[in-house]
Amino acid sequence: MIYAVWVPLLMPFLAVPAARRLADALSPVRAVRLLAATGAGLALCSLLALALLVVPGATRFSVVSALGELVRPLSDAVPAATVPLAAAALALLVGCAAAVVRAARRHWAELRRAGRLEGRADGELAVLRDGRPDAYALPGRPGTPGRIVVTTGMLRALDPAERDALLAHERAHLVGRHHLFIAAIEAAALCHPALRTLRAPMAYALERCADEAAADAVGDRRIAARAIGRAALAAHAAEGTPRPRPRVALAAAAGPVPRRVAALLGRNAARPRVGRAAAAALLACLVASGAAALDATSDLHSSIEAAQGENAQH
Amino acid sequence: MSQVKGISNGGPGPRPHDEPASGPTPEAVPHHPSPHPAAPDRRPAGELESTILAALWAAGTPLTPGQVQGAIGAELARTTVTTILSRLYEKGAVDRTRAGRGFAYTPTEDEPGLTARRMHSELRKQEDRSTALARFVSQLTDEDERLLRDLLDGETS
Repeated sequence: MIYAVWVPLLMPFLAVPAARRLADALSPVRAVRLLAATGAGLALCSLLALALLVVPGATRFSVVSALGELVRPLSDAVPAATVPLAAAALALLVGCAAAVVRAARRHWAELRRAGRLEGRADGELAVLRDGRPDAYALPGRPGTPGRIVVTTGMLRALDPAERDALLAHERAHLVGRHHLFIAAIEAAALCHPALRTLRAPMAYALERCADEAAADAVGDRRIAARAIGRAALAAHAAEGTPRPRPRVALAAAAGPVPRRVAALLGRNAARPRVGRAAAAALLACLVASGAAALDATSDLHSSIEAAQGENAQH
Repeated sequence: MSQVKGISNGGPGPRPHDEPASGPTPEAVPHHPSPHPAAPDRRPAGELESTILAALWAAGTPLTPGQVQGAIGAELARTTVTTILSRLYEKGAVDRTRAGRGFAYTPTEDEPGLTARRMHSELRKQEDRSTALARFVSQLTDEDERLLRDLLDGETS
């Protein structure tokens, strides 16, 4: 298990770039699924690997040994390193768990707070008297539809058809419960640092999903493209001084908004032909990660059995 | 801004292809069939309410049902517009004043609007915006702005 247990911890560094390139080449809906599965799968495998690192060190303590009915501590190749390694892994595990719990509680608190808007069941739109153009979908608690929040500044920046595109876009976020994907990828990012770079592609893929839904709803891709473009320009003009790009900067030269508009207008660069290679690389990484985690688990299981004296003859 | 197909001739009066479900009986509207992408006026009543409410907020002045009809992207029968406006009035989402033989409508900052405003200012204060919110548009860099103007100009020319 010494080698296999490290594979799930290192694999995200290889798998994440492959997943990002693949997401670029896929349709938005598939990209969302791919990124969610990659993030969740790699996060779970690396958590499992950390847990596997904790166990051998823990069995050095008599309490744990007694609980596991072990007759001797688990044998390990480098006994001197076992306990410090287990302590480090345990600290990381506890840190991850605390961070995920904190994030989940914050997410839940936000949904609860948004639930105050659901006092009256009807009406999906809440308009704010505010000249600064802004719009977002405020998800509701499970079972409630959530609300679309738009400022008057945003409504006045768009023409009627573009307003419909905006509403359809936000509606798609709410109907698709996109906030769950954002929360899932945030949680994965807390479990392994390499998974942090999945957040921006996930946010982009979700926006593209909603853009496509808006284009379908208004029946004209150009209207949807114009709505996004003009909303962004109006918001930019109202901001005054340009702010630096947020911390999740994208590698591509163009920011997400011009890329979304170009995608709706069918003007983005030809899709990279990395699709198949990236898919193969990603699949290999995921399989290797899962297999290594399983292998390490079964190794640990048999060494526990040995330590319990069941296979003493070996 | 370029005029969009479907609203350039948004004069009053019902159109020949208005669906029968939006007829004079208000009860007929909530039982609309599921939305069809190509026919905006067949959308569920809740979506039409949002469209009309958004138009009223964008206008900033009281609008009569006829003016509302011209201020929305969808092609809707006058009766449908009137029905939805009355429903919004019953909910307290709009106010109305007498205008000639009918009413003119203004949006009100209703209870959800006020709650949303409080939350909005709370959210603005938060350093790291919310994890739950997907904004319609993210911030632009100056380079983004230039790219975007090129894209949109290329579309209108």
